[in-house]
Amino acid sequence: MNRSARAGLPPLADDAHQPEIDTEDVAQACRGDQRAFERLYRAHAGWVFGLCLRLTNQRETAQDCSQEAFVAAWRALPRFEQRSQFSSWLYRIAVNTVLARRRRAGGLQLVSAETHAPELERVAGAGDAAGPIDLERAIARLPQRARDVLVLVGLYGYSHDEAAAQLGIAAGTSKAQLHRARSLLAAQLGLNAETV
Amino acid sequence: MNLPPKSLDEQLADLPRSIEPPPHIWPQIEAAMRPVGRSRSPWPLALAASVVVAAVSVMVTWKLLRAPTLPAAAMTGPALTQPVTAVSFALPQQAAYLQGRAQLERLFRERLTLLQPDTRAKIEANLAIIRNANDSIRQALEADPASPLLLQQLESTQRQELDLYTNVARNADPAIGRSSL
Repeated sequence: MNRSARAGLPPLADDAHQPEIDTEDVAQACRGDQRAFERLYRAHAGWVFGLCLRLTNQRETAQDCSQEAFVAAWRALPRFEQRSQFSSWLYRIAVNTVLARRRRAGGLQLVSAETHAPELERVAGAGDAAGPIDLERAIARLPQRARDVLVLVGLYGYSHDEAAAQLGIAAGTSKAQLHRARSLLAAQLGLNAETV
Repeated sequence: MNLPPKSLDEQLADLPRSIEPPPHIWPQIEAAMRPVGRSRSPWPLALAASVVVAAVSVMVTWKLLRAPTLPAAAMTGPALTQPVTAVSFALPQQAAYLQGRAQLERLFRERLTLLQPDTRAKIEANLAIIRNANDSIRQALEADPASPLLLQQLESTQRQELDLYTNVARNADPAIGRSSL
């Protein structure tokens, strides 16, 4: 994933916590080593689950999608030619899994703002509940397309081109949806123009 | 003193990207990996059996091989005694599969030299078409690894490649005459 092309957004606070790429584990997993793949799972499961949870807004669905994504990755690993980073490849699978499940479910899902709030509240930590959890709830309330773009571009570092390719929309549409998401978030959070 | 409110970008940057999944997910993934992915029995067994001949062939190659095409030298030369082993298809995720495919390709290359130059050229052209299609599908899979359609297409082109190898190797076998045809 090209972090430098992050749509003009500031660096992510936890970039340093992005899972390290263990090329040896990837190579071993490509050769069928299940223990190596388990190590890759341990390294990337949090990001994959976080991504799925924010895209689906439903904990059980996010669990299913995470599981499907890792199984699909395991089966596709022999064809992974390491032209791209393993993490980028894996996250693409996760997003595709969410989108495929959404299509199977018959299109756009209704968004329940509270569906995964308890999970995110636990993650955010009680001491900081006034900050992140408000933002998580506001993100969950966004219209689906705007939320998709915000999650991919604003949170997980996709470029607009990458997000557009994954979502099947034009890059210009991605930019417009990000702008829309930011405006809606600002309104929900009561932020004025200076703080947006 | 009150701190100024965080900007939206700052708040977004503060959100944790990683959320710990429940512990039961890995055992379920591990269970799903076992039966489909990497069991070691199917390929060695398939290779040991060595009796399954692919029913579907690449039709162009088949037609080419129906014409008498072996040069005289090939007819008088020593017969290749290696039996043609048809290789059942599976996604190339095991060393045994790759090894079996490599053996079949070697035999294909040997037998290909026994054919007339124009026939050989047409078969090589057909193989190039199949491989180009295979490469394109693999590239598409890089972006969409979970696509059932692409996986199905990949399987189809790989099956075609194996069928082509098998047909050439079987039908250009000097040990049984010009060929089996």
